[in-house]
Amino acid sequence: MHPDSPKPEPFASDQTDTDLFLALKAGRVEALSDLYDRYSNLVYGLALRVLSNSEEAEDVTQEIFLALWHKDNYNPTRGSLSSFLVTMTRSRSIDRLRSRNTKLKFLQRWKRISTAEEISANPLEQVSINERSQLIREALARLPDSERQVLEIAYFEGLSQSEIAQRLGIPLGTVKTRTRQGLLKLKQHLRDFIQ
Amino acid sequence: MIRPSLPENWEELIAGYTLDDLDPEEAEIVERLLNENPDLRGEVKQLQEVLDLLPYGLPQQEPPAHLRAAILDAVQEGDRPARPHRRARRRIWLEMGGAVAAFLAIALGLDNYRLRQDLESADAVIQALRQPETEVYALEGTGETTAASGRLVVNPNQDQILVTVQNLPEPSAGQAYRLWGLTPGSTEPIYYGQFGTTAQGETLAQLSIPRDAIPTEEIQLLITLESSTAPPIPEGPLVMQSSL
Repeated sequence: MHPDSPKPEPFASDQTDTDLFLALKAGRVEALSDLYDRYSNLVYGLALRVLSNSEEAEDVTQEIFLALWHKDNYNPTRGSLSSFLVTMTRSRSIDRLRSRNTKLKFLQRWKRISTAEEISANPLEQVSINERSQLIREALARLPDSERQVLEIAYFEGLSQSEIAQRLGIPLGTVKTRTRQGLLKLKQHLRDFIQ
Repeated sequence: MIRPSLPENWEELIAGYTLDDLDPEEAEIVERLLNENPDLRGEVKQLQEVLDLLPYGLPQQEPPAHLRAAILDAVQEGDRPARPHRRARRRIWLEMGGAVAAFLAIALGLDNYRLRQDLESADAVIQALRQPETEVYALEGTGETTAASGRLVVNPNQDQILVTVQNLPEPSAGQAYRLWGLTPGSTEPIYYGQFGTTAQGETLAQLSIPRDAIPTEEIQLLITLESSTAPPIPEGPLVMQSSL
């Protein structure tokens, strides 16, 4: 947690995400505000990382939480709510990023759009959000900088490997090796938490 | 993990598959590996889960306080949340019978005077809604056209689908919106047809499509803005997609 932002531990409430989501669907605004308190930092932080623009990150955050209320777009049997929010936020933010540059090849997006439909489980569902953050930061810190860098660019900016190679001025093969190795090592570092 | 039947670099290949960075030759190998070893899909899933944990590693960023108030105000003022179970809701419509179908046409967004004059199209909606097999899919705007919304009315026993759209800007001359379907795991979109919108940003379009290509719940629907005379290959910007 950032030292300047003392915030009550979001998991102080013993209601699960599914409890809150069902209460939200029953029309209870408090459930939306609880979910917002639980996940707005994650959603806003991710949108801000992708878009590097606080106004746009606010817009995305608003869209995501209003969509949760207004739209029938999340099904608790298909994956965890936290992963759903991450998937939606990332795909909407990257969509916005790309719409700034319409020259990008359309077909490259097809696969990503279709994979964005898949909502993963969250293997860290049982630990609090602050603990999740700490675990991921520790696992990321153990990666070589060169691998962490390409993995983060690929995930947060949605760039293709050749775009990353171009930006960093390194060969395409090196980018691929580093990203793949980085992902495999990250999984290895988190193995105790993944079934 | 020891997997004697797999190539030495199988983990790297699976990581590349998850990251969507395989070259065509590698992609072919991975498709074969996944077909021969279905349990490898579990490995893909785990790697995707690991990727989706990356946002937790970002520095804590609190959104400004006014955003919370704005979101809660927006829902308190407004309507009820969307109810889950789209199928159940549709059944209720059907039980209400055909007499209410005209009202449903309005509920679908056909409350534009000009469109209501288009009796043929309205009839098509009413006919489609009377069929017990009819499915209705929600479409939502993306990027610069976030305000757009729409519905796709599909009867799997007919070779026509209906598209209704609101708040999608009228395309300029020579351009049209095109509807595509993408089946899971495929990178080859199915082309369903094209349509325009009115100056008010609305449409009710009827598209004829092959019966074996009828949209289903698994298919991701996408609408792009294209040249109306271009070959059916998506190249323009994505403007709408089916709700996740």
